[in-house]
Amino acid sequence: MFNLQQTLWRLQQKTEKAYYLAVLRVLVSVWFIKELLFRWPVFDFLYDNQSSLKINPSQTLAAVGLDVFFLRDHYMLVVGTCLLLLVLNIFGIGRNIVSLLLYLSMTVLYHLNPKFANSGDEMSMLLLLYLSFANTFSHLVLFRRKPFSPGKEKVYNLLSNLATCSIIANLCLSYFVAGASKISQSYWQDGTAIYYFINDDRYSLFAAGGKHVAMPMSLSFIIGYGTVILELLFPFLVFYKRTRPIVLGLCLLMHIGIYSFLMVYGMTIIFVMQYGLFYSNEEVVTTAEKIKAYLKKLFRFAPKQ
Amino acid sequence: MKPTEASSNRLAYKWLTWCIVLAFGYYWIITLGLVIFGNQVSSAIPGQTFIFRSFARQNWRMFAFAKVYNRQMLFITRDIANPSQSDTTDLVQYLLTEKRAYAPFNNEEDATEKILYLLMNDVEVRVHSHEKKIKDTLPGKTAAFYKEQAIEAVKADTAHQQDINNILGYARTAMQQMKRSAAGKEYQLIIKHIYIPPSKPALPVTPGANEEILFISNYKPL
Repeated sequence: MFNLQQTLWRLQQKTEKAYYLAVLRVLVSVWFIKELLFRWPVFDFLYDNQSSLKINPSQTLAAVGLDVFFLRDHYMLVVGTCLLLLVLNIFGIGRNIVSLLLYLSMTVLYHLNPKFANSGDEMSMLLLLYLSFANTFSHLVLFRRKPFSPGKEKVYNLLSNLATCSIIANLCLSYFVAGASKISQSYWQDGTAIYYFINDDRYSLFAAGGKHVAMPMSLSFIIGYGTVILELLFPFLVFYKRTRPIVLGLCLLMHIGIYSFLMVYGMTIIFVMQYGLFYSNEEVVTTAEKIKAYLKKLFRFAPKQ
Repeated sequence: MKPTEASSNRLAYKWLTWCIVLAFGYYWIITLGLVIFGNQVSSAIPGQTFIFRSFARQNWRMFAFAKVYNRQMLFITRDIANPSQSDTTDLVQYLLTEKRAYAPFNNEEDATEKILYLLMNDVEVRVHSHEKKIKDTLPGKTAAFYKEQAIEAVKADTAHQQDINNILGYARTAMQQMKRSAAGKEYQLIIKHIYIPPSKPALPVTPGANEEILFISNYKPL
């Protein structure tokens, strides 16, 4: 039987999955830096008031009293703030305050031109939001944090564990809704959706220049239905130890397919990045130790004296 | 020795714990409501929907809608003095070629392509909306008639030209990138759907039959 008091007590004792939360903080920050740097050449086109692109200002920024035209005039200030906060966040400087400020500044940047955002952008913003409440500072930080008083530490642990639960729940929700939305569409029902995606020149690497790509319909059917079943079952099977590696492996394979053939890069990485949260802290730490030992062995140039 | 806390602090932390649990529960109820029953929930609680969509936007219909066509956006330029001298560029293909060339580090091209795609969507929505209005007022005509009238209505609707102006702005930038001069030239914009052949065609596809012109502008000075 579910006992709320007991669950709360357990969630207050320690930050669960502390190691992978720290890894996630660093990975997400690096991912955002990469996104910003590679988008740099079109910043003036996307954000500047003088750009040939005229888009309706976001109501969100106006609703919180921010002057959109001023921000667009000084968009490099927003970008600069985001980059500075990202670097601080990588090193764990400023802890949750910096994480929260980072989420807010990235939200401002997002609302300066929300037109080009995709599912990967939405997932990464949610990750920033959840991570700003989590204790991601137990590892991979420049300065170790001192524990709070016991009462405060308990509240912090609870907040952190609920944030971790939210990341996991959101990933499960996203896969489930994606599967349910697909199955309600006729092309997914008749098994031809994959054929049309492979021929969609916006995504497909094979359909360059509108080239027609023929593929066996049985393959389109198997991949299509396989994807839908996998997405629908993900939230149920990922929590069982036996089925977890299979489900995560198949999802990884699906994302590798999307990355390799459908030119959707950011979303793929941000989704796969979260898989580590399905493993316990001990499992992640053991794997990290193994990787460290392997890398040490690999990069040992001189024999030990 | 472990630090002890005053009983007033302990009470405050207990209250804070319950506030956090309530906020967490509330957030997830709204999240599930908006993600699963979007329209019903957003009409019931518009204020909270606005906050939610501003700060925790979620749309997970990833790859749910398969497109049965590819798009072409032909940007035709010609000399005003000598109209037989013309040049046609498919802006969609130009951008997709760039996007492929820089993959996987194509954030710049990907963002521009997404915007261009949404601008074409806006034009398409306007054409369809005019088409529906004309159908309602003049029933019993051919599909070609409705399409032609709708395109004329979109061109005449000077108050809502932002999408076309944005496309034109991008076209000018693309011309600069291709080192083509805009001096003394006029342009025409054509947006087309090229339908992907069905997986099991009932009849052989005749050339040109799988195309549909969505929008065609008049020639205007560049």
